[in-house]
Amino acid sequence: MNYKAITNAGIIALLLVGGAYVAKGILGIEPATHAEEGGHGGAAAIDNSSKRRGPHGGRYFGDPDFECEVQIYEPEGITPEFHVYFFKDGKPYAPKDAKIVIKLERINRTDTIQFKKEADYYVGDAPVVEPHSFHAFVKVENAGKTYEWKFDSIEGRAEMPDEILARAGVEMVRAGPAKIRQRISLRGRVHLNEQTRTSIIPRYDGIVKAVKKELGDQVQKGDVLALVESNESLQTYEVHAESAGTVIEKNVRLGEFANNQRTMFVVADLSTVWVDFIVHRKDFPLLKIGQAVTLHADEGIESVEATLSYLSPFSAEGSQTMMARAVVPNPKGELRPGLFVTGDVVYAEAEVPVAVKASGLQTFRDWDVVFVRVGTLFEAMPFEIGRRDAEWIEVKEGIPAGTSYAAGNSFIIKADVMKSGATHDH
Amino acid sequence: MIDSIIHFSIRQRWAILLLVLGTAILGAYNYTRLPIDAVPDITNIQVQINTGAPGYSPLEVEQRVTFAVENAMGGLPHLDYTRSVSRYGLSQVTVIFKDGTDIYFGRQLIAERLQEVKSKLPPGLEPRMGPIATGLGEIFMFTVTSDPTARNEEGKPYTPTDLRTIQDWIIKPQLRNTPGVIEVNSIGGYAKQFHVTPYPDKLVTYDVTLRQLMEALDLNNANVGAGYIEKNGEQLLIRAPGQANGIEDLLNIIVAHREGTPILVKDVAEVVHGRELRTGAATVNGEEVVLATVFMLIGENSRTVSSRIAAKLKEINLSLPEGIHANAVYDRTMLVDSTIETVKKNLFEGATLVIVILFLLLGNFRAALLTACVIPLSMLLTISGMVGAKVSGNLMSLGALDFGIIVDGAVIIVENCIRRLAEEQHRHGRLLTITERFEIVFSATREVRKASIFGELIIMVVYLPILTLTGIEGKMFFPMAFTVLAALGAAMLLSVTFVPAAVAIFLGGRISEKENILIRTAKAIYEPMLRAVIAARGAVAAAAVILVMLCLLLASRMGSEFIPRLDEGDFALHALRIPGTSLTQAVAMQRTLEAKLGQIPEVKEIFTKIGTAEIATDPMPPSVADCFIMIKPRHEWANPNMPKSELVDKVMAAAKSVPGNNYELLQPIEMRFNELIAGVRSDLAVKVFGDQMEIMAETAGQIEDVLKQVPGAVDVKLEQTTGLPVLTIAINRPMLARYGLNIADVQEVIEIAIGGKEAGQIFEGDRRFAILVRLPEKLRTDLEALKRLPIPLPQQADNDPKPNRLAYQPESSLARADTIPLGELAEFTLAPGPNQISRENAKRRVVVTANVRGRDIASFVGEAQKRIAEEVTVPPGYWVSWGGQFENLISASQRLKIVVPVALLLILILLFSAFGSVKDALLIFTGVPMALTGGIVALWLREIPLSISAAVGFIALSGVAVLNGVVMISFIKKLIADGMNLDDAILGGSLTRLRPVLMTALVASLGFVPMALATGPGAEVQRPLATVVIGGILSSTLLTLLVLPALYRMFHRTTSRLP
Repeated sequence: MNYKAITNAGIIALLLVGGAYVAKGILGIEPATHAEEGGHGGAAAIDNSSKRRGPHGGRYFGDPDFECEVQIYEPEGITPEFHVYFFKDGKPYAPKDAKIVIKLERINRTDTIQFKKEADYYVGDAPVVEPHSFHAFVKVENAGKTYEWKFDSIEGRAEMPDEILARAGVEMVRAGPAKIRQRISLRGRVHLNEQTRTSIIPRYDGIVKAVKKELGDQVQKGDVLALVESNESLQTYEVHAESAGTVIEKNVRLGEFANNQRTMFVVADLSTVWVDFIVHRKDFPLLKIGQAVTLHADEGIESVEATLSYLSPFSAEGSQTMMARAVVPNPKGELRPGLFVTGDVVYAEAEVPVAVKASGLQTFRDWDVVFVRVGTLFEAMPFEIGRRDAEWIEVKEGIPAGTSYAAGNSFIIKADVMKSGATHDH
Repeated sequence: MIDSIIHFSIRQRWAILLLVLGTAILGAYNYTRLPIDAVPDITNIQVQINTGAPGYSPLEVEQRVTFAVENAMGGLPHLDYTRSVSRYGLSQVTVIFKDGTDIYFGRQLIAERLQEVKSKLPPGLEPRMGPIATGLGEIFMFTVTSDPTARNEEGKPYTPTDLRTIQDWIIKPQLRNTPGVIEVNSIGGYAKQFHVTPYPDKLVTYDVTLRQLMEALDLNNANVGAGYIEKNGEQLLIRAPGQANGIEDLLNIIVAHREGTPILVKDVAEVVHGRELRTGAATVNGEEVVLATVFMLIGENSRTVSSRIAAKLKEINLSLPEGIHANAVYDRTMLVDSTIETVKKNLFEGATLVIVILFLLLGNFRAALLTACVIPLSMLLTISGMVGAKVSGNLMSLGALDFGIIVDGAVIIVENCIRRLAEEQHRHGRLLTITERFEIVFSATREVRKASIFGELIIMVVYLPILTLTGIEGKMFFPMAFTVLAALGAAMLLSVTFVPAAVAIFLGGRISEKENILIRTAKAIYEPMLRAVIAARGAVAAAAVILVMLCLLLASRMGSEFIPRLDEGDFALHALRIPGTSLTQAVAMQRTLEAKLGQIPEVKEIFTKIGTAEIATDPMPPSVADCFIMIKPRHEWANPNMPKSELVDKVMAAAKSVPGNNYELLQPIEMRFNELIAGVRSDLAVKVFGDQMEIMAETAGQIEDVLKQVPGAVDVKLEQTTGLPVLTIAINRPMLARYGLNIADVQEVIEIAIGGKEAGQIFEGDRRFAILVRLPEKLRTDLEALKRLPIPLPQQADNDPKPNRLAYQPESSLARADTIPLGELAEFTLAPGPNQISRENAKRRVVVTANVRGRDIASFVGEAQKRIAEEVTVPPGYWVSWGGQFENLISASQRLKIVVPVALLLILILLFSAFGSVKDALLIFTGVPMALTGGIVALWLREIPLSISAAVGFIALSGVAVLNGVVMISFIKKLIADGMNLDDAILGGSLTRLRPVLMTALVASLGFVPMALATGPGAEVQRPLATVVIGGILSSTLLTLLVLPALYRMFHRTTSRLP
């Protein structure tokens, strides 16, 4: 009985030990998680330490005996700059001659920023320009020791290999010089060229004996238009054309009494016409005499080139419009006075050193950007827009010549960049 | 009472059989009435109110439509809450009623309120209620396509507009009258319209305004009736038709007179068959098509309705023009059929296995057959019960039925009858007389019926907590719990009526009681083990305790999922693009995506709905697409055994290689549920209410930041409220003053020119199409052209004496204009604006959602609430409220805290009433945790998380354990009562019960092997359940055979010595 009890106790003890061992094994098992893995290939692995945040909301590095906070200081209206704070044993600490260099490895260049001391922090000597998308390497020398940290701040970036790019039908272009033609479109009406209009009046009253020219006839200067028998001399005299042109008005019939108060014929040269354009207020400053204008009249009438020859010093009250006039050749007579036509005026033309295609322009946050490509990476690159026309946009600042960017179908890139949950995180 | 039932059943055996036959026929009839769907319906009682507001931006929609509609819904009886979303051109208010409200009652109330609200809406806007359907309502989808060679009436290839016209005017009217169909919702193509597209330059040239054009169209397109006249005894009706009959008529409508010359529409505009400004598009396999979704009326049988639709569609195809086809792309019948197939397979395999095992162990084919009969009979009874209780059949309810366990009671009874009959025959050395036989059957049934009934009652009691779940979980699991309860009840009833009656009738002849070789071997192995175990009972008890503790520890380390994902076979892929993506762009991106996905060999077909359909049952912006990926049946796959998860990976990998899209992979029905119960699916939702969107978004952003820092938070998401690019045409008021214009004059031009305005209808027979005045397409999309849009200046009568007339105005130097370009009056600015405005309970809302992982949700919520109160300052007039799944989870766990102990107590009471001894009751009760150990280990080995279906397996297991325990102990007790000493009684009882215990164990576990390996529909419900049961049966059998006798011996030490 005793023996049996001892055996039993032994077995139980053995079981307990074994059980404890297995329990330890079980505790080592991680609970199964079924969360989908998030994230996107765009952002590289982020240095763990950079997830720490300092009292100013900046990135926080180092050990308790020497800690450093790198803050991007960007209150509204100020270009963002780096501020670097130091801490010792958790308390603010401002060494006098720490040497700080931050290198920003951007998609297409590296910015190096030096620092100088200001109050209780160090301030960068160059602004941190947008986009804040870079791998940053922080190097601090203080009291004979060198510290190096790195952190990543990636935004507006997406990776896209060539084959996917080709399938998406994105057109790639390099930024470069372009001719930008800025134009406005004006509406105008065809008028007679008043300078060529002549009115023919019989010198003496009398009876019309013969009418030589009909409405629409071409006449040369000196051509006989009609014969009139003068009441005073009873002589028949010739009425001559004063200028070459077309008979556009005829107020005379055979046997009629011609009166020197009444215009008998009107002759005008229709080989040129006036086009009076209506110019609305905003366009006033753009127009100058001598500017080229291309006329479109539709309905099978060919486009004609002309120049602006007159800008009226007056404006119409009701519509607040000014008149601009061009003398337009009209060899075929198609530009009939009274017709409405459209004229395109190129008011500025310039060769710009760097321009991008208008089809590549996208907005990202509140910036105007194009998506530039380096290697297989795309990144939203903000730039300052200068002059633009329908096809080209001048780059004043932000994109170096030769940069490859997405033009046609660039929306796909924007869609891809934004879907990966771009963050503006400092 | 049970005794008398058994007695009666044996005496009136033929009557009982007839009765059973009758109920079976009733069950078969009810089977045709049973609403069968793939998954349980988890939709709440809701009514959608959609108001289309063409041209309105989200802000205007909210201000002028949503606000009015929503406020009118306040204070409805049985109202739970309202939520709304205001998007471009659409206001959707969803009214959610408390569970149990009659949907027709709710709709009636809403209809009354809508009558009142109409006068408060801008003219022309009409709020409409969505179809009377639930999340299961989208049962059928078809596309309308044309052969590439087919030609339309004009001899040209069919355009998307033609297809849409065919859908709207030929197919839809026929389908809508199919019984059970509540709505046919079309998306894709273009609704045909007649567009009068004026050229601004020409308007200026002829000095005609848009308004004049609209008026002209209005005045020249109507029929009039003029009563009748009587003539020579006849009555003649008078009509003066003046409707335009097509493009030609419209072109020749007169707009104005200029010096005796009429100016016609054709002088200033073109008239074309135009395309509506659509809100949605559809594609199939990379081609644009017209797609229609058929909605089933609430409570209908999806199988019947969808097969009716399929038949109707076949008929409709005959009436379509040549070369046009309406093809079904999604048919719920297939899913439902495979659900039924699964259940059939279970039934059949269960029955076969039962027969085989019973035959092997009993050596009696007839007994095996009649036991197996219990399976279909209880199934048919269950169906009658389900129809009576309006519970639908689905993968959850029918897929979780385990027939092996259901027939356990019958198995025990039949086994005992056979053993007893054989013993008696052996004892008498002859066949038994009828009375003897009936007597034996009666007493044999009585002997074990207590055990079997108690076992089954206990299983039923364990299911009770599931019935107390509410909300989505309740809706999900109630059908399952009900079905299992009904099946158990039916089996229980059959085991005391049908089984004894059938045994009495059919087991008349010689009963071979040859203990076959299997049983003999088993006994030979079992006996020495039993002796050893009884000898070392202390160690056995300790080992059992340690095992249980280890398994509990293991269970606590396992992952868990509350609601299993039911496999619908096909995928629904949400393709999400950035807000502001245009429909055309989205279609192009979708085509690329479909082309890529189509390369996966397992994919049969892909179709997509982009944006919002005609009826906004699912208001999505154009940047969101519902992409349905139909999968080929498994046997057509290159590798039919490939796990579904691998296919999921394949689909996602293909999708992710297409740039510009974000994805969420769901399933068709699942996706629909998500849409309908939107906003309550995440664990936690922090809602910020207030007035100014910017302030709310900022506060919500702060809350998001705080939530992200709370340990355990995952998927923290801030509702995206802005980001929709908006071109604002800001009209400059001082400028207007200069020209003497009103804001409305300018707005009218903008509205007509860009958005278009309806100016009557064209009738083509029964079909009618809108006439729309709008700029030509190429000018509409050209910003520079829009800036030149002419705004008519007020007419200045020339003879109007102007007091401030300039002293000198040379007419020859002036260029007067009657119009002014829009660009002079307004600034065009492009900036992101509100994407959508969500409201809840009639207040603007921005919501932050989060899920909780690896942490107890209640403590998470506690910490989050505390931190948000401390760290986030909510401006005055704004407030934060908490919602989400966690409320449900907390209330469910609180309820379970009461219900589970009650259930356990009930079991104890049941056991006590069976044995009259607390000690024995507790002894048997100890079997439950032991039985669970095997299940836990099995789950862990197969890396399956704990889930409700696993829990159902554990429940069934506890039942089996208790059942066997009761059988075993009651036998031992009987032997003791017969005067045997304790040790012999334990030994003898255990040996006698070896066969039934093995039998039930084998029936239950082998029957589950196919389920444990299943990959078809319902597999995700069946696999955990089957795994648990197979693993658990092993441990439970060991328990009953070894541990229980040991424990019994241990605790009856003293009592045994006394007699």
